[in-house]
Amino acid sequence: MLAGDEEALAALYQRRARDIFRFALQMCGSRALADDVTQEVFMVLIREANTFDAARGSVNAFLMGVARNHVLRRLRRERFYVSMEEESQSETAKNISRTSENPLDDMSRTETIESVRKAVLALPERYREVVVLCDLQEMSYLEAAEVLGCAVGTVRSRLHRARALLIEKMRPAEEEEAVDVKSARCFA
Amino acid sequence: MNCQDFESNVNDLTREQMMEASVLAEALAHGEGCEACARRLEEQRSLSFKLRALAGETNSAKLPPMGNDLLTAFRSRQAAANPPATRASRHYRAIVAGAMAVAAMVFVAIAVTMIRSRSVTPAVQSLPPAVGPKSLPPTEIATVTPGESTPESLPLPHKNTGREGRSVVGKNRHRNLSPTVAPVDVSVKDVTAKEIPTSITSDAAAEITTDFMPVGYASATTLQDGGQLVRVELPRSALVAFGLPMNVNRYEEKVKADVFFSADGMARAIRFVQ
Repeated sequence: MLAGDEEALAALYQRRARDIFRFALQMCGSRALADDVTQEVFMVLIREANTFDAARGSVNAFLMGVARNHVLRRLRRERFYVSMEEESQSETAKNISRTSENPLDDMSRTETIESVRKAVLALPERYREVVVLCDLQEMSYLEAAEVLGCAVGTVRSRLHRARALLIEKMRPAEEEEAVDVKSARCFA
Repeated sequence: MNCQDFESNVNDLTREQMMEASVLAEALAHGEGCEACARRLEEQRSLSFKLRALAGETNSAKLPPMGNDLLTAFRSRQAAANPPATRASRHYRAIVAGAMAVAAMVFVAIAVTMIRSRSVTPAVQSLPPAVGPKSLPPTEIATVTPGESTPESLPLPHKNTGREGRSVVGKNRHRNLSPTVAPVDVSVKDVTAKEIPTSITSDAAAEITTDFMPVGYASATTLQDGGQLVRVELPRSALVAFGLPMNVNRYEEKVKADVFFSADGMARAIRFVQ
């Protein structure tokens, strides 16, 4: 790619863009922002490809690190804006449920996914990125440490704390749902 | 394993990470025995299941295609990166061309110098350098009487004084002669600008010689076989015979000269030494 081969750039995009897009989407919950981040990461790669040092890590770690920086920057910049992405996602979920054979199960599954997504997005950034990398991207501790630029032990401890926070965040919702169901039955 | 150890390993347990077999067995055994840890393990597994569902849902998201902006930026970047390389190559070419020009000028200067030196020196320089000093017989100093002052009639050397013969080679034509062997009749004070022509060259050992002047009709073909250089003493009238100025008051004194004899024994060239 450094020699100006466009096919190499296209091949690299096809190989790495999905992980970057998923990471950005799971970190910010916005598809539009994830698209922008993916494009920006490859723009950085085109502009500053010489800054990549193979001795410091893999290409994937380099790209994910750039993506992380861009995501965090965008999140801090757009902190005070309300995203319209949730509505579109729920519409997508409705469309999926309409086309599936078992709408009830799909609805339950969609609600579960939405609740988990909200819980993940509600996490602090330092915990969210660890959950995204280790649990959603299924990276090892070492790979996540390379992307985040920290020690493996730090990744382990942050993930432990993040999962505990996720359980706490999802527990009240389940209890509220259970209360609502009981009250509904009482009223019935 | 206690509850604290189980807590530290519950993530690896639910995420199915690589664990030591003994630790895994102990954690599972503790989870079965401890109700709180069993509930924690169940919560973690439920969370992992939900996270996998979220990951699966995200994986189904459509990847945006590589936009034309990327390709455009890539091409513009490559186009911007090429001119510096071109400029660098131009600088490199200019440096190489300059170096080649300097080398050519040096070569031309050396060639001109060599050509000039050959043109100034008579045909003696064209002698083959293969004639080594050891292959030549010892030269002699011939004392020429005033009656034999004509250079064309210089006799062959007949007095052997033990001096080594010397071949006349281009670079060594101003070779030093030992002043202790041959008596020097001409003092350094006698050397004046009037007596020495402008073409006289200086030697490193304070011996000044004129250039070789042809005697008779010497040609390059006759000199190519080599020859002998003989140091002789001639009357000062011999200077007049070769067109050199002479001090009349010192008419009786003698002047040293190197006579070159070709292989056939004929005197071919002469130079005056002071």
